[in-house]
Amino acid sequence: MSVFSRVRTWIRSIRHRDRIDADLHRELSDWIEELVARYEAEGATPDAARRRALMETGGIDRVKETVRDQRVGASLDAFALDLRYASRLWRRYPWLTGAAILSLSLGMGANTAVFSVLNALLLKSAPVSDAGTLVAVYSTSAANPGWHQTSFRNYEDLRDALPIEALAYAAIPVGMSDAGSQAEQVATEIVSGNYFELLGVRAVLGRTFAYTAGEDKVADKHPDVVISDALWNRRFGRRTDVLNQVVRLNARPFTIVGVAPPAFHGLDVIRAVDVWLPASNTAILTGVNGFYFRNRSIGMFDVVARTTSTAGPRQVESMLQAQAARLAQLFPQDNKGLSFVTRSFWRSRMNPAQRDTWVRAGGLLTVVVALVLLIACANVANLLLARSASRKRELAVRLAIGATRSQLVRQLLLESLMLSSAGALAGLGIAWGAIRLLSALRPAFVPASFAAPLDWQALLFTGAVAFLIAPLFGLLPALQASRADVVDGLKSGEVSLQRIGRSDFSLSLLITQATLTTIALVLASLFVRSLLHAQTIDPGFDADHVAIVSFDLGMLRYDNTKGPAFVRRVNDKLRTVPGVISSAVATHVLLDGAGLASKITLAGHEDAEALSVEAGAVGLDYFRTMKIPIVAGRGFQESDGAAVSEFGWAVVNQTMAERLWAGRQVIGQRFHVLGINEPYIVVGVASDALYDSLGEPRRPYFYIYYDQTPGLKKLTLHVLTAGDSRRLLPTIQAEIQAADRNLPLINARTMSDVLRDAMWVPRTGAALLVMFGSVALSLAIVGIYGVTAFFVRQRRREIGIRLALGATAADILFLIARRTFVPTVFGLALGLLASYFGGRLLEPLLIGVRPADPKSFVTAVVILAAAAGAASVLPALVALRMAPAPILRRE
Amino acid sequence: MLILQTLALGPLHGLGIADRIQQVTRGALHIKPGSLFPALYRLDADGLMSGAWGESRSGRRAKLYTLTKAGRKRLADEKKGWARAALAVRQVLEMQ
Repeated sequence: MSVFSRVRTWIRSIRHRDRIDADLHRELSDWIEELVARYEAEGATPDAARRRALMETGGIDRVKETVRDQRVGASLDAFALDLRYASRLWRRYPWLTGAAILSLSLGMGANTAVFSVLNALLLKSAPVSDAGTLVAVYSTSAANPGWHQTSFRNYEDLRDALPIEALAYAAIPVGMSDAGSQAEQVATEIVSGNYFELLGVRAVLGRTFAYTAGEDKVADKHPDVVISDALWNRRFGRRTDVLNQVVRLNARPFTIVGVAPPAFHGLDVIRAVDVWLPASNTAILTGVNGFYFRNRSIGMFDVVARTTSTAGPRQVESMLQAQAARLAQLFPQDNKGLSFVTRSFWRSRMNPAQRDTWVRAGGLLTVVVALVLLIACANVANLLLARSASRKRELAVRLAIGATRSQLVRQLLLESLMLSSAGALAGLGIAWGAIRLLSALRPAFVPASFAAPLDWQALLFTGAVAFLIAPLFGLLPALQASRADVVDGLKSGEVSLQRIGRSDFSLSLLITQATLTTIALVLASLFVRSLLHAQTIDPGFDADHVAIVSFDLGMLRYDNTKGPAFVRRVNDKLRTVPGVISSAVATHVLLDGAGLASKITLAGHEDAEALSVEAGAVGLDYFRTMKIPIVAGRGFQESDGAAVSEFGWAVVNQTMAERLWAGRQVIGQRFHVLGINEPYIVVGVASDALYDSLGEPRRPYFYIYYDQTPGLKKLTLHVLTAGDSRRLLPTIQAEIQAADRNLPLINARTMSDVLRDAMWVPRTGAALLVMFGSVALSLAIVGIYGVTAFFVRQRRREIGIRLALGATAADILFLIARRTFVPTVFGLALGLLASYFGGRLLEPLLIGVRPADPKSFVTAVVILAAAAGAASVLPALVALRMAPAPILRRE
Repeated sequence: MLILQTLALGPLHGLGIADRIQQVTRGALHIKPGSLFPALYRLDADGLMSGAWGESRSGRRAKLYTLTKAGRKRLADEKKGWARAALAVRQVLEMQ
């Protein structure tokens, strides 16, 4: 019988169940009547004939029963019955059911939230056609192993030489302005002309561009851009006349030719692209064409190739190897040791090194939430075990009236499944909230457009988890219950705890729970205190009004005179821009690391062991721009640049001054930097700032003058502005590029972005740990409450007798509290010990708080003690309100 | 198969089928309603025969079962299968 006809029959049997039943009944009675008539005709009395007929048929109802079992829907009928039965139980044990669902939903919510984020971050492919046949191509070499981007020239050569299609894209920061609205920085990608075509992405409005390889080379031919749906919405209000509109990117005109579909944000998973520029027109944008496209040694492009049925991943990889060898041979200085490696496309949506970090963090997070879920399961198992013990009588009755053991287990497992499904539903709500929380906490480098939606994959995941954990927490209680002894179960409604051996189980469960909860609470309070401390930290500079733009003059092969000249030109130009107060270059960005590592010896102690001290080269006006106070001596001045040969000038920070020349006149002291001939002379002392991270201890640092070290080419321009520094960013970028159209700008942001990113670790750590701490605490409360309530229920008789014999309320409370108090205290102690010893691993993540911080430990103890007390006192109070007489009468 | 074969000769009601099988097998197979009706229900659900209320030969009102086209085809298949199986069994049994 086909599935279809089976379903049809089943539907019919449901719809006509009564009629079929009636038919059968009539048929059977006819049968019996006919037999009766037959026997009567043979000469039996009417009574005897009827009796014989009935005996032969075996009774109408019995036959009907067997036919009913034949029905297609028979097992479904039984299922529906079980379902009804289970829901009746929910009404009978509302608190217990609620507690179980709450536990499960917390555990599952955490898992779903983490899954959604990791899925969006690490597992999802981009919305392109046939993503399975795409591979990412990276450059690598023996001297510089890892996954690196590829230069456009190398990309062109591999694309043209091999029988495979490949595209390239690179991100550049661009300021967008048009007549109507304010300038803003838009995430832009330069893409090869075949980008959209190869990915199979079509415009929702207008067209994408599809330019041939030849056209990619013709600079300025197509000043076209495709914009994202998000930008279309944000900036153009979804107007259709956006097509052919001219926008200015870094002050140069471009024509919008199309809008990308809403789901497509480019290939990078974090960076949501707003504007796509074909490779051919970047010359108009920045003049970088020459650099981006002529330079073969600096890789700036990500490359994606499409495999075909004839050229699979293996062939592509070996073709790429051959091509790399050829390129290395043809261009030995640019491509020394070059080799291409491929990576599956879905794994290439993030910089590989960054991805590895996320995979590690994600793995840790997964383990943590899986543990939370396991605690929840243990909790629910405990609750169900308690209930199955008190349901023993009911189950014994069912066994006695003919239910089979497997029916009972099936029934109990179905109940578990219903619990986990309800938990999954509630968990989805919790996950939704958790994701909102996480996205509110995202670091600045993750744009708001990065979404971790609760999509069908998340639903599927949650469903699968619900299905998998149901037997996990349901099987033990179910098997336990199905072993019910009929006679014993019927005899008395209560069972002794020891007999079913759940005492040890629940005791160890309570201890484990208390231990884990203590650890979670200690971690949470450590991170909260760390966050509170971080928020009060003074970074030592003014973060509010400084815009920063980074660039690398080495990219344009600037020499030691051209570099400083360029910087001077830019500074002079910026001084004329309204809203700019001062500007200066530096080789580092405070709080962002990248200081120059140096080893120094003090003049007169050249033989002593050198000290490692970080340094930064800064231009004129740097201290003024960053508002770093000079506490002694002076900052750098223009004339310092002239005396290049004999001395270097240095400004040291307070810590360096105190450590090296405590109690002495610091100004005029000399020190040597290993590898530099000229000694440095201290001209001033600047106050301390934070150099690498918020949590760092005070450390020595010194500044040297950029004009004396023009060989340093990776620079960041710092600009102090009167108003909102972000609003001036596009202007600043345009001014820099006006000084040299060929200079690619690497990163444009504000110092408050830097500060916010530095705050990300403490903020996210605190949020996550508070979240998991609360989950663990809630589970512990539920667990303790459940166990105590069950204990009270079990000992009703004993409590009744004690009350009747004149026990005081305090006696009873003690009797009950002892039950939960001892394991909780035991677990608390274990948890504190574990936190004390394990906490050292967290040292680098904490700011201004020691891992053995007493306040955090006390906080955890107080919270857990209060929660445990409340959770066990409540059922105890219920016990006290019981009147002894009715309980005893039940015996 | 037995029921289908019985019905191949013409429509019958429940007791009629049981009687016919008992008759043909000379009492060797006595079919009780407890086994007959579930089988009938299955055959009906599979569309191999259809039941309709009518009159039995004795003039009583009864549900008469008629073989459908699919039923005839199934009967032919089953007969062939049975013949093959029986032949195989006989060959094994007659092996010396």
